Amino acid sequence: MLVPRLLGSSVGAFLLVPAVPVVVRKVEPIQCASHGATPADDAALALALVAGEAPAPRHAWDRFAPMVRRIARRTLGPDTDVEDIVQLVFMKLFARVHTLREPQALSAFLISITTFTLRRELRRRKLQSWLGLASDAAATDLRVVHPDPLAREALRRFYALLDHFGARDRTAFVLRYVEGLELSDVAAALGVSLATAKRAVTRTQERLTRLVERDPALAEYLGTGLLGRREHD
Amino acid sequence: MTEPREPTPARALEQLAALAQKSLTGDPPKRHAATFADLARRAEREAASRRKRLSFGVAAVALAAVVLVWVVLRPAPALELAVVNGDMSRSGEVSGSARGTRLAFSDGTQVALSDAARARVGSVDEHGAELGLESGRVTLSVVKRQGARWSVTAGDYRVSVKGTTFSVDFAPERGDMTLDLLTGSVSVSGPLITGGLELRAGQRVLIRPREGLVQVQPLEAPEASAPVATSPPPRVEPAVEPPDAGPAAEAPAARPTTPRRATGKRSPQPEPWSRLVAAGRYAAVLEAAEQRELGRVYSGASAADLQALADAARYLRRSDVARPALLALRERFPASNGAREAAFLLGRSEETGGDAARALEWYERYLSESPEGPYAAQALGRKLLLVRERSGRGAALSIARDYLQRFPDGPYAATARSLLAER
Repeated sequence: MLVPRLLGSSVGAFLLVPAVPVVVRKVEPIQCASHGATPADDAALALALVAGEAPAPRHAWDRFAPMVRRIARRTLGPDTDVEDIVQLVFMKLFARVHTLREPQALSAFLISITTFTLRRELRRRKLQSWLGLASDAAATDLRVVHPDPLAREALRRFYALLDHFGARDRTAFVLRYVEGLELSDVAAALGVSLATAKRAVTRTQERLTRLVERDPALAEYLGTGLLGRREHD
Repeated sequence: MTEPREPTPARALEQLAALAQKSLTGDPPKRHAATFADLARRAEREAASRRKRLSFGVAAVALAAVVLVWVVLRPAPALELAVVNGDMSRSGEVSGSARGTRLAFSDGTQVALSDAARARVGSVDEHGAELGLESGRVTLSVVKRQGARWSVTAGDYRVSVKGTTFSVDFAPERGDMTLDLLTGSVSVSGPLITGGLELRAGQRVLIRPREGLVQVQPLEAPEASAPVATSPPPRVEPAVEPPDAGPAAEAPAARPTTPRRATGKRSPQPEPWSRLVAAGRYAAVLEAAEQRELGRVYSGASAADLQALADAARYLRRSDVARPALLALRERFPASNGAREAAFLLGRSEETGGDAARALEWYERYLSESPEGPYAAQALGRKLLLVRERSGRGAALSIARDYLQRFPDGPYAATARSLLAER
């Protein structure tokens, strides 16, 4: 059985997870965007996972894999294959779900695990880049991402600018403005205070705005031009 | 202390965030999508691997290692900061004054701001701080210690510091940066710099993005004057002194020479131009093309190179290079997708250059060659606007109806509806 093995590995299971503890703060549970599930549904699923019910991991995967994949793509960018990371997140979820204090906050718990996993991945990629190692990310056919070539290029440039930022600031910005989470949820996902999350988002937003305004490829897509004129309307 | 309100993001960021939202969804990829079965197999493998390790008592040793790592890595308190002869706002902004404003950190590091300089203190931790230089000059004396990590950001450039004394001058209106390194070593990264630029004590680097200039010279040498720009091609750029040249070497003033990019290492293998464009290194593509002579590039380069050159030239507003590259693409590779897309891009180029009539011709050509192409919504929308502008609302009505029928959710749908609704 999958669940007993995952949850019954005792000490060994915890060695796979980051040393930083995941704390679920007292925030309102996020409405899970997958399948219109409610916090009550999440609570039932969390309890089922903890109890080791056989269908529970599959249900968790079906319900939350799209959300995890979406957050991973939006954080890492269009040129990254995120499937391995999605699997890793669920491995961690199954290993640590019994630490969840509020079963109805399962979605927030999973977002927190996802965020920590993505930040580690970003740091790993940066280290690879510093060491001059080739990226091991599979190139994605961006035509699948967006049919418009101008939009594809703009997206690629946007994420190239996000590479300028540290893992936490980048993740904070993406969770807030691309994923659309409230600041309190961003803070919970990052495991920081609300003030820290707000500073991270604001700082990133201001600097990113300056970088975007100076990028000629983005200027062309946005139709503002370097002089700030709009091309239409 | 109350936190400032979260500012509203600029419209540009909102548009880009919306693009990311729309493009990057949670749908599984068409190929190699992870399934629950994959996850289950992975869990089985890792569980088996764990059992094997436990049988050798690794778990206890690893647990002890984790605890030790946590003890070693637990965060130390952040450095403390005092502002002398000045004030710092809640958002970390600080301005220089005639009294001599400086930032004094608890590890002994000092940052002096020139009169009227504007800077911002970003994050401060136990290793150092991130400073943003908005304009003017700052002089840093960074105490060298283990784990020290300081950085100064000026525009798109970043100076990473471990233990040194240097000054940075930044003029935001042009994006020009000058860094004088007095002691220690720093690394500078940013546009026009390949692989990072390592500077040594006694060196100055001048960065003038608009002229494509990155020049390293001894501190004693006078600042180079702006290079003379000839009509393209080629551009005249000053010679670049290798960063490991001693202070006794004299840096030449601006003179015509083979343009070189300032690097801290040997030149790498030439990268495909398409990859340079993807990395945002447009000037590098243009430089490479000019080295090969543009005429030869138009007549002999591959379709991919012509496309990359056209893209890079467009982003750098070099229509004198973009147009011939696109025309060459159409003439030499008429059946390619790039050739069809070139028709739209030529329309954009003509429109930006002010020739609406020629722009219309190109848009109409694109629409006839590629009615379902990726730029069709854009081409028809631009045509709508140009016809309205040149010939009035009446002439544009049929185009507006056509647009809404074909692209009801397109980028110009709102414009088309508005036009039809006018009386």
